[in-house]
Amino acid sequence: MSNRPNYVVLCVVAVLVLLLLGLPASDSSRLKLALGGLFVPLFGLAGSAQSFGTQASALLPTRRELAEDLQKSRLENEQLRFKLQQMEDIWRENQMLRQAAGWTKRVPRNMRIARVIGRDPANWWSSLQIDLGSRDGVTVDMPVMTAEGLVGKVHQVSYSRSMVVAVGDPNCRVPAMVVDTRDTGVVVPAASGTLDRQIVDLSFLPGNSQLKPGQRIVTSGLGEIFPKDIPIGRVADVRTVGYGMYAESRVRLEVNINRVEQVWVVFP
Amino acid sequence: MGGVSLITVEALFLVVTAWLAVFAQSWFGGFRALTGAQLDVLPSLMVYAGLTGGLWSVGLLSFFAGMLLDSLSLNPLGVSVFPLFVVGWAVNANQELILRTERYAQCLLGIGAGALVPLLTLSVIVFLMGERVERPVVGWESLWRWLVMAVAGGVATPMIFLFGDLSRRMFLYEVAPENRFRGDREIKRWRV
Repeated sequence: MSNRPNYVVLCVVAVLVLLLLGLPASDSSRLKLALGGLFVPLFGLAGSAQSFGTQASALLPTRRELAEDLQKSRLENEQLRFKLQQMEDIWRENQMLRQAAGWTKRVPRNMRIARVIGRDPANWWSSLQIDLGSRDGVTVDMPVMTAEGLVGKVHQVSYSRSMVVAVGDPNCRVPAMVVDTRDTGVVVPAASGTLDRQIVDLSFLPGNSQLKPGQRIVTSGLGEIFPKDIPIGRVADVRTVGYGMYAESRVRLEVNINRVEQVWVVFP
Repeated sequence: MGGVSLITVEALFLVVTAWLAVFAQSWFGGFRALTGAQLDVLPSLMVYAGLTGGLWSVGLLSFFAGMLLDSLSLNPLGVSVFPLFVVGWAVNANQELILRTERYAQCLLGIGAGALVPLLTLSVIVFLMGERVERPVVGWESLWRWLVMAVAGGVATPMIFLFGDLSRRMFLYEVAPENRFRGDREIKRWRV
C-alpha cells in the first residue's frame, strides 16, 4: 500500500500522455503554438541581447579598420551594381524572348528576410524557428531559402514566429532536378544515415541517368510548393538500386542548416 | 501550510528551470555545431527532481518540461512527457538506495537518464504514433548522437545538483525537525 501514490501519479501521467497523443492534428498544433508562446519573452530578450552585442562590437574597430571596410564595401557595391545592370538587361531580354515564344512571364520572387531564433531541441528532427509569423503574412508551406540555396518550408505559423522544416528532414521532401541532365527525382533524408546533416538522398531517378559528382541540383518546380530553379546542392555520388531499375544519388546541400542565421521567406 | 508552500516553490523552481533549459537548447546551437548532437538537460533535471522532490514534483516537471520541449520541436505534442517521467519515477522510487551527495552517483545516473530518455522517446514516436507522423531517420549516426547525449547527461547532472542545491539554499528554507522533548516532562531545577 505504501506504493499506492506512486501508481496514482503514474496512471495520471499515462492518461494525460495518451490524451495528448490522441488529439487531432489541428488541436495538437494549436496547443503547441500556445505553449510555444511562453518562449516569446525569452526569444525577444535573446534577440535584444544579440543586437546589443552586435552594436557594442561595432564600437570596437579603429577608424582605420572602419575606413578599410568602407573602401572594400564600396568596391563590392560597385561590382554588384555592375552585375545587377547586366542581370537586368538579361532579364529584359529573357522576358522578350519568352513573350515571343508564347511562354508565360516569369515574376521576380517576392521575399522577406527573417532571423533564425532557434533550432529543434530534439536530435532526430531538423527544424528552425524564425522571427516572422502570421502578422507578417507568412503561411504554411512557404519556401525558405538563403542566397546559397534552399533551406526548407514553413511548417507551423504563430503570430510572431514560424517553424521551418529543413531539407533533409522526413517532413520535407523536395521535387528536384539535375541541371545538366534534366533528370528529376525527390530529395529525401539520407537513408544510409550520416553524421553530416548536409548530406541527403536524391531518389526516384531513372536507372539510365548519367549523373556525375559535382553536378548541380535545383528544385524542379513540380508539386506547387517550391518554385523552379532554387539551388539545393551538388551530386556527391551515384548508385543504382532495384537491380538497375532506378538510380539514387547522395547530394551535398548548399546550405549548412546548423550555421544559418538569416533566411529569406519566399512569398507567392 | 508551510510544507505545502515549500513543495509549491520547489515545483515552480523546477518548472522555471526546465523552461529556461528548453529555451537554451533551442537557442544555443554551438554544441550541435561542434558534436553533431544537441545537449539535452531535461533527463538530468529529472534525476535531480527524482532525488530532491516528491513524486508529484516529478510528475509536474515531466509534464511541463516534455510539453515545452515538444512545442519547439517537430515531435508530436506529448511524446517527451512519458520518457522523462519514467526516469524521474525510477529515481524517486529508489531514492533511499542512492547516494544523493556523491558526484559519481550523480554522474552515473545522468549517463543512464541521458541514454534512456532518447531511446524511450524514439520508441514512443515509432511504436505508439505509428503512421500518423513521419518516422525520424535512425541510422549509425544516431548511435553517435545517443552516446553524446548520454555523456553530456553524465556531465550535466552533477552541475545541475550543484546549481540546484545552491538555489535551494538561497531561496528555500530547511524544515526544522520537530522537538521530541515534551514540555510537561521537563525537569525543573531550583535551589531549596
